[in-house]
Amino acid sequence: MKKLFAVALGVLTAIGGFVDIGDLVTNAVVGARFGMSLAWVVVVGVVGICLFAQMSGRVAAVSGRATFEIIRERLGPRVGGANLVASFLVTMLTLTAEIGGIALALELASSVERRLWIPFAGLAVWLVLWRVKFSVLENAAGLLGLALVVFAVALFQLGPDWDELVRQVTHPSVPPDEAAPTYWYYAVALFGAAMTPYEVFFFSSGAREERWTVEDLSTSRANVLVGFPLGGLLSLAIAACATVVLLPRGIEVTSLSQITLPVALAGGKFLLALVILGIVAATFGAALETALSTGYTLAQFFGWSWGKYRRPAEAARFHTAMLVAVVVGTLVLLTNVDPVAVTEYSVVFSAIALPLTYLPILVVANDPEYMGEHVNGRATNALGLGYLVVIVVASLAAIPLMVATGAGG
Amino acid sequence: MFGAASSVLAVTLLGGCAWGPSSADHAAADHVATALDEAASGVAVATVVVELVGQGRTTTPVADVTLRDAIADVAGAQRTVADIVPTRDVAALRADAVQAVADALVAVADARAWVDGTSSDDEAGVARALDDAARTIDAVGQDLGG
Repeated sequence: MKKLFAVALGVLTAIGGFVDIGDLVTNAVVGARFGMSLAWVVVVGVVGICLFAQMSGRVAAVSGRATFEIIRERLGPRVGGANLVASFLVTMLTLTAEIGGIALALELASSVERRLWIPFAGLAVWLVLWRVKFSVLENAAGLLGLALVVFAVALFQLGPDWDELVRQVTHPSVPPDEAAPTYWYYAVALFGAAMTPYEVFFFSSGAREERWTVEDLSTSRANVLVGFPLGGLLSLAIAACATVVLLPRGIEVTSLSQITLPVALAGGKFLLALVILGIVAATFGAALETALSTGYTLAQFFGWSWGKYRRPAEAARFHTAMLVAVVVGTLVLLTNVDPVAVTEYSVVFSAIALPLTYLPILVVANDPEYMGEHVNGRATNALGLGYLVVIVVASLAAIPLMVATGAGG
Repeated sequence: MFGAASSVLAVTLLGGCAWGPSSADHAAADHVATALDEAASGVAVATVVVELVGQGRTTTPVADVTLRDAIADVAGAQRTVADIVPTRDVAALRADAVQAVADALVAVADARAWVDGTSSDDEAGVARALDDAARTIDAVGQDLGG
């Protein structure tokens, strides 16, 4: 019974925690421009994150090492250091976007300018990181994030032409008024949003925080293999809402407020309140995860004492790193940079940095010295290698596509 | 070697001159069209918000922020279209576009005033102004395309 509860809780938090500001913005932008013709990318991204998250969780549970400890061990200080710089900067960019997302959602709820919410959002993130236990912050944010299910409810209430939506999903093509490079640029952005590197840092470090052992592998697998695909369905619901309401009206998504329009049209004030709650929870949860990931990556690379299970005095540099990351993210936003623009860049730079995270995990998951009998099976390896090719192609294509399309023009 | 390089340079420069004006026409027209799309998007957002407020399906804070964002979009479009240095062929259309986007900005700002309860207009008047703005933008867009 206790195990069943643990699985159910894990699955629910995985669903609620799957969507962050990157998924919200990118899926809505894509739905409003391309309809459901890029839904296949979400499917590819979800399968990829399932594959690598369960691999990194298994590595952490079996070998007792989190992602950046492995990167340091396998790549050495120099190459590992370059990896650290790139991964850390991408995670910082994502953290900045998430704090901006909290401020945008609070602005929407209150009509008070987002710049006034930014310091409050940063302070709230830091206070929770400082005071709240790992299991509480992980579960609370994930469960509240489930409120985003209203996108799926709204889609049903809007009564769309399901045949047309399914046709767009199953017969993807570049819309006539869009250029092919723009289509592929957004495909890369959507892929980056689904497979953000911080999710793997957080997942593998969380396995250590919760002291997973080999006995926990089945629970972890259930969380990932059930929770993430259901979270992916939420992403598709966001895109579908934009497809049904925003695309026919020629509305271009440039702000968070536009993403909530389909929900208000479908369900009025009640669903609107729920969606704002869900956005605050999703961005707040992701801000916690990304802030923790900045501390995890630095501490694991440099061999510092780390973990939320340790009191701040016992892991001072880990906690200081997180505090500095939150302060820097908050200060960047106070320069009046647009959080939606930061989000759009963060998902593309995530795609660029993907091989840096996923290659070492794949290598170690195949290493009997670390994994013993729990090395990857043939099927997992074949899929992992296939994904590595996709990840490298997306990474290499990202910058040329960004330049060619003027960042999606 | 040096001669070949000079020839390539000369062809490139002359080619650039030959390509210049018509390409400038296209570039100006494309920029105006993009700005019109942005403005039309802002007007469409405002139209949906007015509909939602009229039906009591949204809250005043959400409607206010959404319209503020729409104003930012239309104002951005206005700056883009005003920034364009048009060729003679496109100058008249650019002037129409500037006017259409300016009218759209007024319509969206009026909608926000109505939502915030600081306007004497009624819902029908606000919706009509947005509809007119959308139609004008569309007409300028058609002229540009044709």
